[in-house]
Amino acid sequence: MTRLYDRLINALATGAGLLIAAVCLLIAWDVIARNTGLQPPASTVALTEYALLYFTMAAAPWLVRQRGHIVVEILYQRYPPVVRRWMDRAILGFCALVCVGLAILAALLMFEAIRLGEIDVRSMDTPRWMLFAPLVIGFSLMASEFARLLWRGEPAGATAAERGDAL
Amino acid sequence: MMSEFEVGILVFALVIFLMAIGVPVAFAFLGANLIGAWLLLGNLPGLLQMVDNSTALITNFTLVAVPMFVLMGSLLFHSGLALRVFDALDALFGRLPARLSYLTVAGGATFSTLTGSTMANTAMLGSLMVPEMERRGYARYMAIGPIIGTGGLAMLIPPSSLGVLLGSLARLDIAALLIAGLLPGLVLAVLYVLVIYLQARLRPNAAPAYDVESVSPAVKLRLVATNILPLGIVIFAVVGFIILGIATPSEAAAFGALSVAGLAAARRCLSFEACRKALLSTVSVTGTVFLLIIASSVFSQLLAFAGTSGAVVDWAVDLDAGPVAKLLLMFGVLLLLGMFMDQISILLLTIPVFFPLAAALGFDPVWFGVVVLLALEMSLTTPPFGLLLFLMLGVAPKGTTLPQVAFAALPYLACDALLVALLIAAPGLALYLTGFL
Repeated sequence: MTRLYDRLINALATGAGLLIAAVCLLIAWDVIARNTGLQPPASTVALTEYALLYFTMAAAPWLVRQRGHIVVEILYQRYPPVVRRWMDRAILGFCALVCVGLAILAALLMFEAIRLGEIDVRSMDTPRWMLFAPLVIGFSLMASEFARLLWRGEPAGATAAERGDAL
Repeated sequence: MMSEFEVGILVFALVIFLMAIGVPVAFAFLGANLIGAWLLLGNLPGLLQMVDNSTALITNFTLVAVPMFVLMGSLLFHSGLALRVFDALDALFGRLPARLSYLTVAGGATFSTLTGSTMANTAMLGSLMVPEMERRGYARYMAIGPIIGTGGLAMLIPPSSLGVLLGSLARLDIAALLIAGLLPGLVLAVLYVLVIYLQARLRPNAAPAYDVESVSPAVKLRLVATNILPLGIVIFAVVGFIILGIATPSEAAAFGALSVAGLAAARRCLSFEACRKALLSTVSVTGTVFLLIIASSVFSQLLAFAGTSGAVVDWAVDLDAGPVAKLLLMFGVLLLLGMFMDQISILLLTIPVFFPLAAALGFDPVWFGVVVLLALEMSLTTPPFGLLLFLMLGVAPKGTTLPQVAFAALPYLACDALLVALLIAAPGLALYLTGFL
């Protein structure tokens, strides 16, 4: 069960990467078609916009696992080890709670959108619940990843300098 | 009962507090948003509205430029194309005194044009150049200073990922903002070269000349033709496509990534592993940034709804000081925040207040965007917490201290300050090229 769950988190991150590659090709095809008189796909913009949301929510749980989310280092690195351990617990607990709250709110919105049959009007009309579904899954998995870090007694986050990648 | 304004201030303070105690930035925003929305609206529909609004900014087509630029830079690094550029530049410099420092600036400016990532630039230049400079007896400040300086060029010289982000968040013309950074970025590179020249003249021993294997002009030409010129395709695919109106900045970014992949394939260095690493790096960097955008979009709305951002803008406009003094005040705040906060967090915190204020003071928003990028670049290098200083410490030789790194960065910070003065005196430096769009 745990291995299946680990695979899900990794698969979502892989999917996020492939989604970006697919968006890159889609945009290129759209521009080429537009500039050569061919018929460009009508829904490139809407598909890309949805892809950005799905990409973010697919990558986020994996980033929690990798401790990839940015932490400001002003105090965090200066805590004595004992304080840092307790602060880590408090921070992870807080983050898990926030994610649970957001997952529940997104689920309420999703069910309401399904019930009312709402449509998100863009260059391609889509059922509006599709905006909230990734939030429900993403925040639920993030909550579970924070709880997992809490359970294993791992630190809350790495600083951007430790991660070495930022814009 | 708190007034709406007080709730706005509380939410702002809460974000700062949560960040300061070590809550990951995105979750500090999300948590403060939940509390703020509850205090302001006091009911479930208010909270639902908050979550509903959180998808608005991220599902914005212009933001696709961020992962595309990151992918472009990552492919360049992981395919090995970036190293080939360096080899070619190395051959061009001959027996020039302080050649390695110049090489750093030239390489850094080139990579900035091609990657748009400050941290990746600094990490690569640091690990590539510092050991060689140490071996050749360069003083530490001659090795570390240029690397820190040119790392920051990535924010100004297009394509700048941070520029795209700033443009999207502040609702600026992204093409104009990217192009506006070009001339100031090049001026900054020239100023850095002057610093190295002066340092090498004043203390020749700090960057001793050494014998290098002589390379015939024919070989130099071949290296330029095979390793540097083809990258012109990448630059054209991004900047050229934007200027010629073939593609929007977001679309041009996709062509940038594809052109790097095409070049790497043509040079037979586009391995499966290089693609995997590049995509993973894109997921890691962009995923972090995009969650921050989701978190912060509601934060800006809460501040606006509470009237906090408007009140701060009104207060600042009424201050008894000239527009330039107010500009410098904003610049100072950005530098101050940069001492302990990363660039994106700073943007998310300040955009809701600074851009309306700049508009109220009559500043051109694109010009102001360039000034903000410059401030962010400087803030990366400001002790005691500037991220580039720490990154540099990580790749510098053992025994290098933070004060040594900060001291090496000082002349480059002075160049940045000089550029700010130039931009204030001659806004056309940033805005001239935007007239061609």
